[in-house]
Amino acid sequence: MMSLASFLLASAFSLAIIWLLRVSDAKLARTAKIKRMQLSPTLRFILAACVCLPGAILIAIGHSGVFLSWFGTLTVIGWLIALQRPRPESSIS
Amino acid sequence: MSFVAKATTQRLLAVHGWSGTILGLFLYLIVVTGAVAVFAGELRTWSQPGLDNQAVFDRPLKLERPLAPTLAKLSESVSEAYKEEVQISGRNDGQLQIVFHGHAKNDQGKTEDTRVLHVLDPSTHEVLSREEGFQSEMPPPPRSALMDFIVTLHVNLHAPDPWGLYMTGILGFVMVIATVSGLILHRHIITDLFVSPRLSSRLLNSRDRHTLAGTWSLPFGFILAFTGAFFSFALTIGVPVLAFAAFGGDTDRLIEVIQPIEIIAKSPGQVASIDEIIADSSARVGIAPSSIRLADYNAEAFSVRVNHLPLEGGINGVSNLYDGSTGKFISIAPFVGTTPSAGSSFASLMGPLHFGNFGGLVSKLVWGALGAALAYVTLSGLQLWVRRRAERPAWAWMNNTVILTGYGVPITMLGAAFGYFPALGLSADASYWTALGFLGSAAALLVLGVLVRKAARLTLILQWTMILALALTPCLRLSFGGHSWFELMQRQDVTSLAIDLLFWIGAIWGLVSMLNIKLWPSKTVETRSVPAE
Repeated sequence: MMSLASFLLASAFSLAIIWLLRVSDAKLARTAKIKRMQLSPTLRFILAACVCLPGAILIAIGHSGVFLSWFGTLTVIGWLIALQRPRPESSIS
Repeated sequence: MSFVAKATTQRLLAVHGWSGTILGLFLYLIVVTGAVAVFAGELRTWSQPGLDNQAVFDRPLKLERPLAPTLAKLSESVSEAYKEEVQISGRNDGQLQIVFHGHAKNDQGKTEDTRVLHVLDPSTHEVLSREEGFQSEMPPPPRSALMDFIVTLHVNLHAPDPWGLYMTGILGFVMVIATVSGLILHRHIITDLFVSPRLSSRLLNSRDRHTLAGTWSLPFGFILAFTGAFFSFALTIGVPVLAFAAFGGDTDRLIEVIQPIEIIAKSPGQVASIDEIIADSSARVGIAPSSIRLADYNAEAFSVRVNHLPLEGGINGVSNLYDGSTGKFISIAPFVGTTPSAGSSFASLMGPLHFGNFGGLVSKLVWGALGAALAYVTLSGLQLWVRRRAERPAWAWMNNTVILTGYGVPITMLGAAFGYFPALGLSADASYWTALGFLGSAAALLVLGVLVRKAARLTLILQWTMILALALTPCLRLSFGGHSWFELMQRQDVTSLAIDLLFWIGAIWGLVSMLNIKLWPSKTVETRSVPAE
């Protein structure tokens, strides 16, 4: 139960940041012709590092199984987030 | 940013595309059956009435009373020739199994494993059945012919050993090559991570879809392909080559070295209590064992290896080694060899990384999703390669083959279920009818492929076939002796209930997509074409 909670928490945290990175992505905004959330490259770099933070914590506390599940979830859900085509009127400015 | 020169890129693209095209259809079959095989335990329980809710590899041993008196009693009735090793493990039907092992020459003059197999009630230790003879003569363990068929299809394509394993090993390497070459080929791997597929052209859209899926699933694509190839080649090539190099081809001697039967102490006549050993091991690890192995049980000194499943949050199980004569704890047994090593740690990771069974249903769901994502990468890559050559007439048949395989693999697996369930209900040979169901549906699809040349029409027929097959599969299970939903609830088997529902959800989803039914108001805005970058 403890590992399920840590898995859900770690995945939710990282996926939320992945979503933030997506809505502030310059190339996506250019190709989909939408306005994007303006974030500085430094902040985006920090956010990208934060995506990996739960993984580092899971490894540090010895939850290697939860780490693998978290990493796998990130790749699948991350792909599904990236696959969605943004709607122009719902863009974040 | 490009890592390599243009000419190298073109060569890599050719390797990436052609290796995928030539073997991609088989690779897709392996990936889809692999994604299903992740849930082998759950699907086994779902498809075969009478099996325990949890597969034997997913739960600790049911030890409801002391084992020592039972072991001593059974040992008296077994000849010394069968006491080279004793294995105590669970079974998929929830019973306990105690097997005494030995070796003897069979009719062909070859040395074969001999066994005395006892099946016991875990609560009373009453012997429910006893079988004695060569391993090949033993009755198969409780199983589901349907899942055995699908797992074997994934492992060796039902080809005779070692050729089937060679084939799946090669397919694993093809996927490794495709993953590595894809990584090198993709010039904007970081900047394209969030670029959703563009709509400017069908070809560009296909490329974006394949690249996006491939990029995100790259780490696990490599891991699953590499570990799969490892399993295919470790036993078929690795072990014989090592045995040839170090032991003149004697593979038994090699296995004795890499997984030795440990003779630890000499205390003649003394036998430690197996229950005390189990209690000590359980206390050290924190959970009950999943299996126990007593090596050299007929010798003056023997060892006891107590195996435990991974702890919560972990990947690998733990094996504790004890002196069987004194009951003294010796050490945590490494996966390979007698002392911990990097090689042993590396080898011990292969299973969990490939099967994804270390974290219960959660890790299995993640691994199943990874399998589905990789199936999409494989199929979208094939489609992309074919669409790039769409104007050449010779490639038109390949387009139809990709469509046929894309829908055909899941349909033929459902076809196997259509053979299996009636055979189960009518007490016919379930293995035979499962294979016939698979081959029959594959033959029907081949005929369909020959008769229907238009890709759009072929797709439409296959989609409707899949929806129908998905909808009918739980009906077949329920009609031919499978547990009813009421019985499943009584058995607290929520997973089987969920599997039935998932089939119907899949069918309804397909139906909604096919009929273009809007379940909720959509705010879709017409998207303008954008130039390719």
